[in-house]
Amino acid sequence: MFTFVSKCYLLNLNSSEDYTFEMLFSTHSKKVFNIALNMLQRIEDAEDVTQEVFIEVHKALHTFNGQSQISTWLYRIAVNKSLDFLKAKKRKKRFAFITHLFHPETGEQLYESKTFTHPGIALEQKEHAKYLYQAIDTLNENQKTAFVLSQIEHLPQKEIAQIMNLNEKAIESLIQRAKANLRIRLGDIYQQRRK
Amino acid sequence: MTKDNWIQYVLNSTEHVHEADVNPLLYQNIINSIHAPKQSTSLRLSYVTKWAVAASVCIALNVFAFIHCSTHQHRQHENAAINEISNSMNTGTTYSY
Repeated sequence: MFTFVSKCYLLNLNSSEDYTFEMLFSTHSKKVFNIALNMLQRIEDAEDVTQEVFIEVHKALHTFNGQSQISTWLYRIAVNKSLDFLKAKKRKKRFAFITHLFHPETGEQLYESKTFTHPGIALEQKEHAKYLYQAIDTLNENQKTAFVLSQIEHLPQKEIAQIMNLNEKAIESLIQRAKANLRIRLGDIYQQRRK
Repeated sequence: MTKDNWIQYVLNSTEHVHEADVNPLLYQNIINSIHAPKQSTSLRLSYVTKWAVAASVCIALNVFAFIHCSTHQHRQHENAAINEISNSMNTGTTYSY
């Protein structure tokens, strides 16, 4: 309990466990939810991941050593949980045809169409943002994470480096490669639109 | 709009992404999950996992049965050969290999 109280003090929070957790949630839930939303591109999935993140945080709060900011720790958990969720979803899609044989309703849900429109985008930007998210979805894990955290969530590169456990140069390189790949993918989309 | 301009315009649309609001019921859901009694492992396994486990057990049983049968057959052949040799030694028959 002493460590918990001292960490609460460190975090400038009240010593009551529930109150601390509530404060953490109200301060960081929006960012965690938005990271998950940009990674997963589905509101329901992002809510599930946000829920998992805070359950994990509640369990592991006593293990937080205070070496990094608590926000960095939270966002790292959010990124890892989102990537795990994407991997699990890919696995489920592979088995979807088997699932479909036994549970037709469940199997069909896995073949949903992928046209995501972010709820926080102005109406006139929605169409362009739709193409952007379509292109982001084709990036590999690291490029996608670096691009989302840097260009959409506007986190500083130093914090992104801590979240992804890489150095700042590697993050810069990932962002540049992500942009180059997005340009190629968006070029294809541009050609398709003109046909 | 040229292709390059359009690509740049789409890439710049990230500047217009505002943070989406969190579902107000989410906090209560989390608190309920934290305080809810834990489900048993078997209930938490997804259908896919259950089928994967069942298939793995089935394959493992088949492999075990195959190895067991082939070993048993091999031993029978071996015993038959030993018997034949010991019989031949008793009767004095010679074999050319």
